[in-house]
Amino acid sequence: MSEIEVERMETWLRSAGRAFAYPETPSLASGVLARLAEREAEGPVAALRERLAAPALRLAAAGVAAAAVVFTVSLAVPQSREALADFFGLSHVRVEVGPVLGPEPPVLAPENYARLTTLEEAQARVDFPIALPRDEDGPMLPDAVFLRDEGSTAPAVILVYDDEDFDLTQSRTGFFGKGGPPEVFEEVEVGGRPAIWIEEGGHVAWFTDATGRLTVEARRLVERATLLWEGGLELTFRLETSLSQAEAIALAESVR
Amino acid sequence: MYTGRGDLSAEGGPPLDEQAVALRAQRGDTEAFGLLVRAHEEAAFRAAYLIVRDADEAKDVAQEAFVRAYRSLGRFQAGRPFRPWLLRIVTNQAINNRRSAKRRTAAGERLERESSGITASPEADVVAGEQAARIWEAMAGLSADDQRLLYLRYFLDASEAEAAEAIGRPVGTVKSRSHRALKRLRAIIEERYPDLANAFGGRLAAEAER
Repeated sequence: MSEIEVERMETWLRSAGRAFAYPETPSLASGVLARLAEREAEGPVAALRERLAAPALRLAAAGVAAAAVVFTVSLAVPQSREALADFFGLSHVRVEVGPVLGPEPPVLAPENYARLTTLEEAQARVDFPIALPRDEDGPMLPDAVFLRDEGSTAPAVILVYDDEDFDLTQSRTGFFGKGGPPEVFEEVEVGGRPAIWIEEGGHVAWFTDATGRLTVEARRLVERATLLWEGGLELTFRLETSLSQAEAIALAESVR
Repeated sequence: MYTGRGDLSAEGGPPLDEQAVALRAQRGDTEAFGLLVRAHEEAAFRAAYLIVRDADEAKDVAQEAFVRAYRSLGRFQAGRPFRPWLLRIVTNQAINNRRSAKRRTAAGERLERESSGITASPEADVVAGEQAARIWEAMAGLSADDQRLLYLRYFLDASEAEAAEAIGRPVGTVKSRSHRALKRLRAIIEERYPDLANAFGGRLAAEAER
């Protein structure tokens, strides 16, 4: 289309927009405030819990909870566990028990270490299909999408779900976490594959590059619980959330 | 003409500073947030309606979007306009809902039900209103992202900068994507809506004569 044709079509559409017959706008404020009060009473993750109550996910959550009891391992030895990932079968995730040396890093939001973008653009910039969690209605679109790539040795896509209170990061490289005491780390399963659950309360997280080296610029304190697992295409997933372990695993199992 | 930019005032008082009200809301002042809702409810409802194509569902989507906005206020950057940020949340929520609705209801049934409940706005002449509805119908053939962009730009009167803020992309990208979306819309109209293609062609001819 020529520039003139584009301009004419724009004018035509603006005219259509002005002539368009919308239904009368209802008053929304009282309903919004009522919903806020209701959610406040239910707690921050009530909405997602409601969604997880869908039959398929409920079954998954129950199954995973049972599996978690069987597979939970307390890491009784508070020593460096460089080989822990191999033990868990996660090739791009390492965790280490023990105090973090140096000053405590800050809690960083994704905007501090990644760039705000759209799902579409993020998809165009990474060489893997971005996976989304699903509920009974299908894929759940994120409230915000961040891309960590330019100049980075650890490209990643971070999907932020504000209302449901979780962030889902996916990367071809990996993650390193350190903290303690050892009981905060548990071996669990996501879809029958090994995964690591880190209890809430504070661990320090790094991205790792393709060679496994730690990246320093995004070193941060993570206060929420974290679930780490690996999917196909050598992708590593990281879910930071206030959900319970069973709920987080059910959510993780819906990611595809 | 609808501009989509609501006034912020408390019970008929003087207009309030949106940034100041947003800051109060960020601190948990739900009354201040109520002012933001009232100021932007029309834009939110209309954005939702354009995408979900059902008035009741649009109301639900807009309300839910405001709830999400309230919970995300910590992410809202002071000094930035509230409307584009809100429209991003609304359109995301609406697209999510529409995908769900498609699984439950045939789109044709929805369109038929909606078209029977609409009354033309006073300033719209009947022919233009009918044509606008047909254009809206044709736009349903575009991808969700294309629709969102075109609704923002041409139905909700968002500037390029506001649209860029709402979709989280640079202004240059908004321009190029709008151009491509218009091209795709034109192809849809030419293929499936000969009446619109003729109307647009006639308009072009009339403009050429002038």
